[in-house]
Amino acid sequence: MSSDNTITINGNKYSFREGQTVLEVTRENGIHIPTLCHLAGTTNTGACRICVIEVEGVRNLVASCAMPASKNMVAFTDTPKVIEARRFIIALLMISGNHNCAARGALNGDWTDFQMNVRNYDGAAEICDAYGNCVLQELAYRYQVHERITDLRLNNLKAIYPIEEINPFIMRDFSRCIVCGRCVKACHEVQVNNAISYGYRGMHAKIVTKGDSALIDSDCVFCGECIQSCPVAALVEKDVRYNTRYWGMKRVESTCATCSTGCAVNIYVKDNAVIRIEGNTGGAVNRGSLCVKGRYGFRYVHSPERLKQPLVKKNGGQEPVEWEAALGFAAEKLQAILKANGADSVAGIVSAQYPNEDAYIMQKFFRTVLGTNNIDGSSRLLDAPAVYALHESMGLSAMSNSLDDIGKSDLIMVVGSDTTESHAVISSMIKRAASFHEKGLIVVDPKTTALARHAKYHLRPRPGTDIAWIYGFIQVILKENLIGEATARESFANFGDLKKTTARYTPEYVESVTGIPGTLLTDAARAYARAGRASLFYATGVTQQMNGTENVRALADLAMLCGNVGIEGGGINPLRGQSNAQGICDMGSLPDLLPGYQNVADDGVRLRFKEYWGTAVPDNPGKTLVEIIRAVEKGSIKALMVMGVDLLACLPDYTSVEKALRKLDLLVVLDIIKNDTVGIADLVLPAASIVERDGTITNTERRVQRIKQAVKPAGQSREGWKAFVDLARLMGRPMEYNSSEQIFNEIARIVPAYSGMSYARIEKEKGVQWNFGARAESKMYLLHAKDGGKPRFHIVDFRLPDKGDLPFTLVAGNIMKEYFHYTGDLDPVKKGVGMMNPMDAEGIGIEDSGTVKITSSVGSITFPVKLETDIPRGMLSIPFHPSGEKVSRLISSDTEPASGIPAYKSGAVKIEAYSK
Amino acid sequence: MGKVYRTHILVCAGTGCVASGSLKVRDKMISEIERHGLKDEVMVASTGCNGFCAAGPITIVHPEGIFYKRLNVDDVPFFIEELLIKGRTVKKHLFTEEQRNEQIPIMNDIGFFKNQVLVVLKNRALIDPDVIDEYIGRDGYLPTSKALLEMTPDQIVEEVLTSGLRGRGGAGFSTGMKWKFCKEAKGEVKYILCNADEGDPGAFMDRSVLESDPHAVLEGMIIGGKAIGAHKGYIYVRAEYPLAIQRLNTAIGQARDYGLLGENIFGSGFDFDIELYYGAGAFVCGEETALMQSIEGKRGMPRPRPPFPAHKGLWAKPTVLNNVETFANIPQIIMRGGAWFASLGTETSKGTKVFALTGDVTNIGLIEVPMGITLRQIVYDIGGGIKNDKGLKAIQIGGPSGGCLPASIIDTPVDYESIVKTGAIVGSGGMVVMDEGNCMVDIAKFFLGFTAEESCGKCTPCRVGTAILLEKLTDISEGRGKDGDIEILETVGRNIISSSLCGLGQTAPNPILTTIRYFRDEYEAHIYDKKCPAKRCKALITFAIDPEKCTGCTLCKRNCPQQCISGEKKMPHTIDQSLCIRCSLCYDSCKFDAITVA
Repeated sequence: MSSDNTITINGNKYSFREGQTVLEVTRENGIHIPTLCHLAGTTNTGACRICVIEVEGVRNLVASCAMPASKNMVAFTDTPKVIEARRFIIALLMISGNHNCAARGALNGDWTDFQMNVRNYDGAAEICDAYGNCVLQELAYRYQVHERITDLRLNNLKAIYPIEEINPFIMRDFSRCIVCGRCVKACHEVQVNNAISYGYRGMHAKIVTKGDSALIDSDCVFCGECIQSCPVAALVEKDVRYNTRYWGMKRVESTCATCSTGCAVNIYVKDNAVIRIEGNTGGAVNRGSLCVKGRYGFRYVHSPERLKQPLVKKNGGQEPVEWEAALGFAAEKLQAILKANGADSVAGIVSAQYPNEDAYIMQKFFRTVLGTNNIDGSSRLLDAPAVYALHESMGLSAMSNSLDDIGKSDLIMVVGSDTTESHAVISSMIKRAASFHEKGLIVVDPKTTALARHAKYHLRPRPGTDIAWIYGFIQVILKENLIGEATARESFANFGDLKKTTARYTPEYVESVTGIPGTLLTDAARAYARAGRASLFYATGVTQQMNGTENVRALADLAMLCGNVGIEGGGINPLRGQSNAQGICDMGSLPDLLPGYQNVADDGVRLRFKEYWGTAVPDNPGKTLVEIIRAVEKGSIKALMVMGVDLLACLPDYTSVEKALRKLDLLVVLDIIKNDTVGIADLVLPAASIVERDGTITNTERRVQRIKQAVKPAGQSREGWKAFVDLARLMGRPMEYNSSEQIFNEIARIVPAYSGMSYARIEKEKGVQWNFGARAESKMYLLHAKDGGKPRFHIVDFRLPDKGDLPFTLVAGNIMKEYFHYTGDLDPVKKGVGMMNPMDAEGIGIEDSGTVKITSSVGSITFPVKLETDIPRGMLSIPFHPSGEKVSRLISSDTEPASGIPAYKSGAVKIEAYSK
Repeated sequence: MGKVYRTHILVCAGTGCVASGSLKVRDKMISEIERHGLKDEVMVASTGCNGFCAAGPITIVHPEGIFYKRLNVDDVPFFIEELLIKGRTVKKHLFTEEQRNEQIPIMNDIGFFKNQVLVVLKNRALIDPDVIDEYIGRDGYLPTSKALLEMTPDQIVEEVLTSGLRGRGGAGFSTGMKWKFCKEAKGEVKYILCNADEGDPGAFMDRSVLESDPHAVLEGMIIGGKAIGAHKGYIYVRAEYPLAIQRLNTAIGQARDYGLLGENIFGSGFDFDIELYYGAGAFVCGEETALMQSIEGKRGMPRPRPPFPAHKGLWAKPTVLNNVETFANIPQIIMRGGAWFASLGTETSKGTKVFALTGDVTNIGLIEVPMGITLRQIVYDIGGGIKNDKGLKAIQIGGPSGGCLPASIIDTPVDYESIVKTGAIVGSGGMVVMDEGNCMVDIAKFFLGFTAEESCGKCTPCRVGTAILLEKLTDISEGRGKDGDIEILETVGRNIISSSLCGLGQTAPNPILTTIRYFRDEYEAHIYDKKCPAKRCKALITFAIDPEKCTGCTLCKRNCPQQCISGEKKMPHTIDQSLCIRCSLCYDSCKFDAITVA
């Protein structure tokens, strides 16, 4: 124990670290001090005063949460004066609102009168919803606050504001608010949404939104961080309030599967139903945070639209059958097709929202039972370019760094990612870094995203012009010699070529092409180059383009050039589209790569897999997703098995796809809920949802995490892998698996990156991140491409996007409150609307919230639009929305040659006002 | 400057006198003098506040130094003719000392002025605050040049430490120590802030200083900046002080023009500039951490200390915050030495203190007195005693954070320690003198109403505690008091003091605790007898008509808004108590003293 940093508490000496508060020291040493307003990881405001202690030499009591421990400090945590003050504060809080638990009973003479008042206020005859789960109540018991201590009353409580319940998610019960401000800290310092703050004064103090409007009319995004931080019953999930007491619920720790962030969740279950979901504070990624999707997007689980029994197309409709009969039907049909047309006449498509175990078994089924490599995943449509370009540039097909690294970067650059909408919890990490840790933030996005408002530099390139500005960065950096050219020339195999190619991308030229002001480009480029550690994040804005792979290559070159690859806090990091996009690729849901990205064309690889699986693996690479559909159209593929992808909703050119799918001899769709593709299937198999089963998913930072069964599968729904195992048996090629754990153990044996993983280890370590091959032990995630040891730039050509004579660029994307086709609409206000610039709208006579007719080269839809200045001129933003007309009708099925991704982010359309 | 006049007429242009029309008086004088062709012989000028606001509009005629009170614009033609043409003292406007019942023409013979010691207010009524040359003419900016050219930061801090100056904002912390901590704090960027967010009800010391001598404050800040190594200062001034803001802006502009603010002041290589920040009128923003939050653009709510502002203040940089009066003392401490300053006042409380003397005292106004002067001297020698021959009941000192001291301890010296012992605080300078007609429960209720309203609502004890105190006092003053209430007030008050976050809460119960301490019987009368001895608490008094005295003139009947007085003409009237709202209109209108209050 260092004699320097020693504090005396209650007569005992304790050592402390510089910067620790007295509260932190007591917590480390098992000394109890109660807290209410304290929220770990945020500023200590010392507001509630419950944690007061006595410090020698200080006249008044001090708040231990905000008091730095200091040398020679002598503190007492439980003196009579301290206890009196705590009881006093608890009593004040109890009498200041509708705290009608039994602890309150002793404070007031007439319980009945009081209870009637509470009833009048919130319309419920119940005891407080937080009963038994309330910090204030717990303290009242602990400190035995009752009338013998102090006969206090507060008759004319003016500060009662009416309860607010006009949103579907959060009940704000002001009568139970103790104004501790934890929710404000959660909103400002954890999520950085800045939607709520203190308003009014004294007893009128209230937690308010801007202008004291209702949450639904405010900047609130309903992430629910405030609910989770509320120590009393002031903020409660609307559905849960007075419905279910906490002690009646079972808690299951699992992982959220609505996006690729991989937030740890606690699922609360009662009577085989999911009641509520909260963030697990022990979560390695989210540390308790969630977004609206993660917290509320579970209603589909118990939706009447759920598929509960297998259905077979019969007599023009779909009729229920038993599993065995359904699979027998499939087996028979498949065998016939295989016999008549060969193995490659069958293809499979797997959703990137299904667990590793399902993806692994499905591709194994295709490769061993059916004998084809025609297996691809929905990640093809989102971020295939990341897989291919990064594999080639850096020898890795994943984020180079970890999410934790955000805090270690000096500068963060976010490109083509509306992170707040698509990966809200990651967005909060970035906002925290920018707002509270003085990290630089560059956002490159045509749209003024929420994140852009926190950025020092916001660059708004015209869609499809990314290479121009990236090369503009490189031009500025090289021209101003910001990186040490001599070393760069030495370090890279083809530095000269890069310099030569980028030389013409002067700020003036880039401005003319992209619309980004030259000075802004120059400043941002300088900031990126000068930052010690700069990390780069990108998403579908970069990849869903006709040159998505080239965009990623150019970004990778920029990062490499500035020495940001292979360092902590740096890197080039795709934010993957769907929850298990990383995992299904790791599992070999790719037509040319076997599990662990092992090339199917490599004889040695196939030999190894033959040993693993006991069956030869076909040597010809299969077709990519869009190629599969083309082959269906042409008739060369006769049978298609789809696990969890609504092809009609997300594939380009709805009409042609539907026509093609109807040609199939056999369309088997395994899904959890009804959708358009399910509607035209020959065989529908009901799948268990993510909360109804065990398994693993791999998040965007390559962290393999557990999902766990919280409720029993709806109806006869089953895990995907079980369907394939049974089908294999019926086809006479049995695969022996009894549990998802058994499957995972096989994965750990076969996929090098998963080597050494097990359910037990994942559980213990809160998820296990995979690293890169031989460097698994290292934290530096870099494997440069070969070339005699020197890394190589992958220089690309830039062509201006060809829009023909269609004036608008269509950008299709996700919004936060919808999780593809499952969570349904979590946003009753902004219900699936497109967005365009008001000045564009004026030119063609479109009013705010009016309906427009949008026409592309392949189709036409009508859609409501809002007019927003956040959207640049010439752009139309449309969500992939589950209800309403499908934007996919507008997307051309042309794909990028390198990765096979359609250009969802740069379609050309024209817009007209629409009247019925 | 070279011109010599035979007579200087100085018209007070403090807020009080401006409100009573002094600027029109000045203009009228100028036109009258021109009419008489005396323009080259007589100069008329406006000055800062004299302090004796009750006597406004005030005019002082030099070289004799004759003090004229209540000289209105209509009086000007007569006044000019008498004074300048006939050469006579204008007796009609001379000040009369009531106790001696004699007219006192010379300003410095008047008790109100005679017993004051002017350090902070040394330029009052002598210079035009809008003219920097007049300030410089009275040795202005010499202290700055001395500090910047001849002294090291250590020497400046040493001088302030020697002076023993303590913060005049209320807490009384050593200014020298504060500067020393901040000087020693690590950091390239530091700030010096002036708290001009004067918010105590009835207090106007800082406003008066800013209006009458703004450069003294600027000088104090420049010198402080040099001492701690700050190059930027902010004055947080209430937006409700338009004249002070206007004069500060003028002063800052002139100082910049003269190179006294900005880069390389006096060629010393020291840069310093000052910006104004307008407070929106929240009392709590006078608390230093809340003030800084407010300047940062956030909601003005106090934060816990430590870290103290000297280490992490504005924008988390080392910061010194002093109030207006504290800064105004600095130039003279530098000029005349800390030892000289320390010679004024008492052992532990050095120098002088400015008070806003108000209430039931004869001479209402702004005064500056040496520390250690007794309350008696202030009330009687300077204040001229209680108005209307009534008796002194209490002196409220320290505003909402202070307390009510009874007449029995009127010989208490005014210094930090002695006043704290009484349960009050010296505070920023509010001093309300109360006669026997004041109810102490009512006074406590008034101040609690103020703090409960101004509590920011952040910390529990202050937010809920003050509301409880206010409710309890309201109950007591409205006849719903019950046994044990006094003890509750004491318990709640004690706990609010010990556990609140900031100075507002930590002092808010003082008005209650001191009134209970010195006037407990008055609380008991309210609670047990349901009577208000001072007859102020309306719920506890009854109006009645003495049939012996009532002439039946019907005046009260006609004035009664409740129409609850009945009676025939020329016959004694009666009041229906069930309808009476105790508005007192009958009492005020009766010409025969026939209405009784009990």
